[in-house]
Amino acid sequence: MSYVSLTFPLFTAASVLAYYLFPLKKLRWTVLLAASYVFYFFTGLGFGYLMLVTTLTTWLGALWMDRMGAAAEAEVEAHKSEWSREERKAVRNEAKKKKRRVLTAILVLNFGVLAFLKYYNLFAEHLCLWGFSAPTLRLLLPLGISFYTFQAMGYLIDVYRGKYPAERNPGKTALFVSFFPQIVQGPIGDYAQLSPQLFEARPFDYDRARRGLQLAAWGYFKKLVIADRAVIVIGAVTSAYADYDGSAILMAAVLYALQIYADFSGGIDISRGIAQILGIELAENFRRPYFSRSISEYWRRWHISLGAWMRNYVFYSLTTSKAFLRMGRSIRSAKPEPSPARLHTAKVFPTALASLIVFLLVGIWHGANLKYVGFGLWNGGIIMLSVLLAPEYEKLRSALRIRAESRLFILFQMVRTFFIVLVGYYFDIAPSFGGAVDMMRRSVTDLHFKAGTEQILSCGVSPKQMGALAFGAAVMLAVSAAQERRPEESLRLRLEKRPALSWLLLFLCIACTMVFGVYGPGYDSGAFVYMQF
Amino acid sequence: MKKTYAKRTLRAVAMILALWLVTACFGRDDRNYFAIRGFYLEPRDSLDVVFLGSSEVSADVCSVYAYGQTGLTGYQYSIDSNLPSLYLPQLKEILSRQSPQAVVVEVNGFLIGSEKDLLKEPTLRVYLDATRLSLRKTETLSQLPLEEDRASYLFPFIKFHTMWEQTREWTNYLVSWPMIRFRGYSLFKGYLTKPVLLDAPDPFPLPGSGEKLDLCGERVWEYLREFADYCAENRVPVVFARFPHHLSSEREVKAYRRFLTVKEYLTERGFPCLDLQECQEDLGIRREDYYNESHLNLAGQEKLTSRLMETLRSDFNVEPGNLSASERRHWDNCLENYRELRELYERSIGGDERFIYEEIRHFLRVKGYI
Repeated sequence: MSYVSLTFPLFTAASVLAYYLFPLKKLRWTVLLAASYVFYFFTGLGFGYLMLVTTLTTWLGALWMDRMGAAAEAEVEAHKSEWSREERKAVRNEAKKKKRRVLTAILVLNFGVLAFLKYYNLFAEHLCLWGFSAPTLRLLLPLGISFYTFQAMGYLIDVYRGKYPAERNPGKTALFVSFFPQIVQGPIGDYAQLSPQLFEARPFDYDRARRGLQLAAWGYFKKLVIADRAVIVIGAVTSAYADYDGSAILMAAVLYALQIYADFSGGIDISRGIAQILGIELAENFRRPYFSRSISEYWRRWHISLGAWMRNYVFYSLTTSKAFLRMGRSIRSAKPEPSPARLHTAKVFPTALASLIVFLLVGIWHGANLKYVGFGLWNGGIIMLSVLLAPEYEKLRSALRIRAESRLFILFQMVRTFFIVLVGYYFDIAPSFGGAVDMMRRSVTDLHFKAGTEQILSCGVSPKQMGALAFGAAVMLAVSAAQERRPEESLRLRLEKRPALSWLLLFLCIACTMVFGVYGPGYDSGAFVYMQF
Repeated sequence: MKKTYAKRTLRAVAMILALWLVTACFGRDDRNYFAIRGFYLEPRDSLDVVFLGSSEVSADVCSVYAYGQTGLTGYQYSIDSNLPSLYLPQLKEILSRQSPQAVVVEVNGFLIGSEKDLLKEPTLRVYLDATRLSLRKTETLSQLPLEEDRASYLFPFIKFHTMWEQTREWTNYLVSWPMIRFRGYSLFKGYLTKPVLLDAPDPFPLPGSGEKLDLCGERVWEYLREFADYCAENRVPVVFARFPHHLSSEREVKAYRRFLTVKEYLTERGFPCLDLQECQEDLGIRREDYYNESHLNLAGQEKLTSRLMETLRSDFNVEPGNLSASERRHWDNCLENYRELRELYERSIGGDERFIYEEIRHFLRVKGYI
């Protein structure tokens, strides 16, 4: 049951009806739980048991850690007057150690399963290359395993950190892990933000439901009209890039930028739209990333929930670790009177290095291939350099007398950022690391735009289809530009004041998707790019 | 409060209707498609005879001509290269809307020469795309081994939404179907002809009953048995027939030899089975009454229609039913248009072989649309 199958809207409509018509309001969340498991068992390639393992270990682990913490606190409270401060601290530290052991075990188990399924075969292949023998296995990655693992582990770490108490009801933990609109490709939810919405029964809200429907329809438009059409061209060029002119490769890379945004943000809009109909606001995952003025800003606007997860659970853990704190101190104290540049480096180098590590991890998460390491290093490296060289950039801008807020400079920054992002995409679309480098080389040395355009137009997409793609992209750009210029809320408020216009836009969106969408016999538009992660 | 709910409901309903209208703008630009869809426009229980079968049914008889001759109303419910697997669903579809005094079943579809022709998906598509969504359709779909997504059979818009890419076909569809739909009835009731005279060698001698050839595989037999069983159980007033072919090729002769087997089986089961091949000379049908080996041209089709109607009236007591004034106007208009088509046909006899005279092309050409 893919998002783009006919059964999915029917399933969703049935789930929404069952949810709002369920007579026991306090137990309404059980309808969502049942719907989520039905969805997963119909879609998840028979890997529902893995999700159950994650749910059970998360629930038990969180409960266990909670109880250990509570027991230690009770003990400290009981001996408050007898024990010294050190003794109380020792008991708390002991409990923390035990909790850490539990946390580590569960993290290792869950991320171990994820890593095994994602990387085992690559590991086995390399072992064979080095003369050892290891059998390759027929491993299939369960649907949304990364997303539900990240979400569940985030919750577990928060319980460990004492951010909130553990959930006692296993059913509620199961719903948090499996909530069907978001399990396919996120956004990765935060327990504190999501749980009150999931477990509270909310009455049907007509305006919210209409907004949800609009958002989901917009998501389908992006996915079916833009992404699934662009992917035909991208697939044709990248599968045999050596046969194509450098300009065709460049055009395919630009199309990929369009496709991946339309695909991923479209999928997220569908998820958020459906959740909104159910009265649940999922976290925003994209904020018009191609309008970013720097690569750091781009990553704050792209896959926001993954960025937040990495920041909360990897980046902060690294930057607050003893090793990183020591690193900053040692850079500063290497000379008795450090220069301003050294002071700046001492201040930002640990965070820059942490960013590089985070991006390396993000790259490896994308896939077991050296090209993804390249992807991580490129993005992390650019961020690292931009942080380290920030004072030099400022000096240069001042010397050239460029106003930071001038429109031309902002446009330049946006275009520059887009090209930096585009270079990163070459690692995504190329078959290998070497292929990515070769594609980049050809994109700047082998440019014949007329021949390239002809090649692009012979990739299985007719000129009329290209027209539909251009139309879809223009609509998406116009909507994004409007949202960028005015805060989204004001656009929403404007539309809410004109319900007829709102319905008209909904109709146009659905009608254009129905007519110009790529689906039906002869097309395979089932998979979302991020479903495979 | 009530006003708010009414407004909201109205907007939602308006949007759903508008979306339905969008889906109605996409369909198949194909005469088979219009022939099947046109059937649904006939007033319920208004037809005296329904012809069921393959392209022979479209080309060898003419319901409108029959109406002009005898007052009997009929419809040619057929698709090109009809498949054995579709005969029964088609009969059920016919009987769900009409209670004809006779269903003439041209059996050529059962005489296929190869088992691989048994489930040709393009042919299934042509028929199933045109049939209305119903439980019968889902039942038919569940019994067929289909490669393409079943949802696209239930909702053909899933397949045809890309028609905007073929501007010519889409324009044809957008002009043709609304014309039929808003007129409220099909002008020629699934009929077609070609202004061509056959140029082929002399036919082989007609095989005798001792030269029977078995049907092509057990599956074909199963479909034939199921069809016959259904007709017997439900007392369907069915008349089986084999329309004449010009037997100048081995393929045609083999098909006739298979028909002899079918004829024997059906006769044994007590069904009437007309061998119109056998009485070809009697009918006065000659080589120049064909436009190709398998199909009669307008001259041949008029001869066959006259005889068939005569037989239905004399042997099967089929009599014209009572038509309302508006139904009579509708049929008279069809007849008038048929006469126009006939004139056009006579003017262009021996002309372009590729040009098919049928409702859409004829109408558009005679009325000056193309």
